[in-house]
Amino acid sequence: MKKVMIIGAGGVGQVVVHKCAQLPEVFSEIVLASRTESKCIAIAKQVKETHNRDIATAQVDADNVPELVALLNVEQPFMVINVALPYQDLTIMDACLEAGVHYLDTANYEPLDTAKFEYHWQWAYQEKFEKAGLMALLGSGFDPGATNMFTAYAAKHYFDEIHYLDIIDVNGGDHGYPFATNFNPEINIREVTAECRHWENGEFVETPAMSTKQEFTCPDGVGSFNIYRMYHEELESLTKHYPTIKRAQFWMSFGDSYLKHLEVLQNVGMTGIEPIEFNGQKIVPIQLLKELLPDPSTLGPRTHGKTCIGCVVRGIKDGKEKTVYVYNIKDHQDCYGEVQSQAISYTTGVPAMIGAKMMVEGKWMQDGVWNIEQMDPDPFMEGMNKYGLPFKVIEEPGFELI
Amino acid sequence: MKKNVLIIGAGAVGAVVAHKCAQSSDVFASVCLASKNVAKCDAIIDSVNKKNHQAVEGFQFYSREVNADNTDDLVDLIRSTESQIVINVCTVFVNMNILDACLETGAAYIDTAVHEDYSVMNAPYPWYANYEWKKRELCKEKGVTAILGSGFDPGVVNAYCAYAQKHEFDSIESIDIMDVNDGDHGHYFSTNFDPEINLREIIEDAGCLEDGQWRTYPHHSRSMKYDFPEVGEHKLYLMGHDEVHSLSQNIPGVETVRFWMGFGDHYLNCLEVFEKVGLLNHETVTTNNGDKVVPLHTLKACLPDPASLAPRYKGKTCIGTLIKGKRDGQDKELLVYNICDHEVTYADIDSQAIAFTAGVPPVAAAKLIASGEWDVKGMVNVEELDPIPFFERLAEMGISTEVCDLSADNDSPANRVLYA
Repeated sequence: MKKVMIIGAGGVGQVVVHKCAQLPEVFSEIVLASRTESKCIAIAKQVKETHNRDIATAQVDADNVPELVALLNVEQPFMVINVALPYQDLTIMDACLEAGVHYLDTANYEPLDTAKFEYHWQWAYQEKFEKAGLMALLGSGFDPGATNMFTAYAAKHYFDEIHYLDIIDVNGGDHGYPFATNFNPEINIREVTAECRHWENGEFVETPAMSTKQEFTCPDGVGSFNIYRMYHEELESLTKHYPTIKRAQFWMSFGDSYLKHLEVLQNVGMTGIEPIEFNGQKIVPIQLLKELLPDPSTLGPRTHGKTCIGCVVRGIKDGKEKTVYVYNIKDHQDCYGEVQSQAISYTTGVPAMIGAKMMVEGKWMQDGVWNIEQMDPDPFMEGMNKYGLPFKVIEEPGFELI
Repeated sequence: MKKNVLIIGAGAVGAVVAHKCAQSSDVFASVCLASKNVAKCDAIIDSVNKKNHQAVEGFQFYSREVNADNTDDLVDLIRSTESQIVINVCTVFVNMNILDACLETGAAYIDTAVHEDYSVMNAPYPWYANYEWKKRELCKEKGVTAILGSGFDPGVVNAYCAYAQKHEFDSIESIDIMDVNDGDHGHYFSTNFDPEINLREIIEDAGCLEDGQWRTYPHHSRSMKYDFPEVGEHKLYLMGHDEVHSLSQNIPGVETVRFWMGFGDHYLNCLEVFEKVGLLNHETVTTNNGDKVVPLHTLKACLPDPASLAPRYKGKTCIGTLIKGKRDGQDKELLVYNICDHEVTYADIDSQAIAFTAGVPPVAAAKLIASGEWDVKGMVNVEELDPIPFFERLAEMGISTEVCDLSADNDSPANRVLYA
């Protein structure tokens, strides 16, 4: 039984609070902190109503290390679950070191000014955490997170050596709008315009953004989707920790309508962040666009359909080649019914809670900075089954992938 | 006595009108170019001066600032410039102010598009009768010449119908006006004239006369393919357009009058995104930081300025009228059309073909008023006037007229150039 502090009161933060609140025997006390305390109070009120648990709230600027340290010293939690913005990872890690608190996050550090998903900034903290006798667990969301665990689980139980990895993230949800983004449109746009990188024969290979696609049919009737190859951060840590991997690729589904809207809006300049002028009035196009698009937080109740995220692993067992698919399917409406949030936030928030539970219970507790696949996948996978994200394994799924 | 001309509006079409008037110093004594933004007028005058047209001595060409929302200011401007002919190529929302100022001063009036109320989308039928035609009696009473819709479409295409009626047919059953731009401006997306007007008109309901009935359809819900001379096959969509109304009233016995415009898939794709996201709305929205913004204005500010397209434009436009009816008891089908090349118009007067084809015809009309041939002392649409001198003036200024008899026997030459 330990006290946790959750930093970040967005969609994912809301799910983490709900899920931790459901396990008082693990998380005896919960503090929710954010720059905007009113968002914390709203979530605390929801949790009080649904689970009859009291959540403490606090205001904190996660860019400010002394402020974070002061709050941690007052609250003295066992660990921090960081679901704030990715560019705040390092300040929160610094504060944890100073206050002697364990750390967990779901997305790797990104500098504010460049979209670079790389682990080296956080791996550089290895010695500091080791010396402080603290643990930092990196990437405990769904992807990265559950996908790393699916890979580790397959490697442990089905293979002697893994050679090929395809991580496939399908969101088959439909919110009924011709166009809406799940989060900030600027971040969505950056995602689909970033250069693609995949691992092949010992190095990362760059290809133009969205230039490689294929159709993928999900199991269990979820449907067929166009999936596009793109870079995702777990490729870096998985290829490091599984050096036998010859090729690793990440694929994400995008609907035609979504891509069409993004392409047009971007090309005409409606996603621009610099002011333009009309009859002497200065207008920032993206600000108007945000106003016109549906508010991402209103998508939950109207999103129907399922997510299907999994790993196709190919390798050698007893001298023979084999393929295994480990995956989870989650229904948007089930998530909304349980925690008033759609599946994108749910699938990220639940693995964060499970990772924290592993640390609190001491199943995963070792000094230093660790990617999640360096931990034993078995208790985590048990947690997935138990806490809302059951996984399945198909041996020889017969997919014909590029 | 040579006449003084006042041009109101300094957009891409206004620039064409200014260039062509300046090339006509044998007909006009002076030309004043007026706009809300006088700097735009002066830039056009600069570009005209660079062309070094040989002007008749004493010819004056100058700019003035005017607020066309204010009829009194317009009256003062017409009087102080001693203008006898006013060419209105301003935004259509101020047509009635300019017409009123002409009625007040006795100056002749020419425009290229029907009046619209800014706040009303899908302007209710009958278009000309809602505004301009209400002043028809007054024009006659005062002896003021007012030529409505004297651009290309409406305008030249109406003259094609008048020509067909007088010289080619005993009776006309159907008129299909077809407007296609086979050019490429090299931008991801651009409108060819003011986006605020253009993007608005193409998402309005498509009104037409069919089988003697007035009908409306949702925009872009009806399409056809047509194989044009020179520019080949294009997909066309039914649209509402001014001349559909006046022709349905002025061509006796006509049962069907439709307007079709060519749109590429990419253009329609972009249009659909703009419409669905709400960027074509002209109601103000308030952004997070309290700014009041009109979505359509923001989009307009993002898009290329149509006046900037000309140097990069390649390819041709083809605008024509397909007329079906009877001659000597036989079915007859005739296409009257013009082909205009973007690069040729740019070489002539720094303009792209869409602005060129819209801006040359009102100058031809002004010349015909000056010569007396079209000085009718009343209000008319172009199809009510003699088309032949109009075609002659157009040809002098770079717009040819061609016909293609689609009902002719194979051995007879189907295509002929009428005026060039």
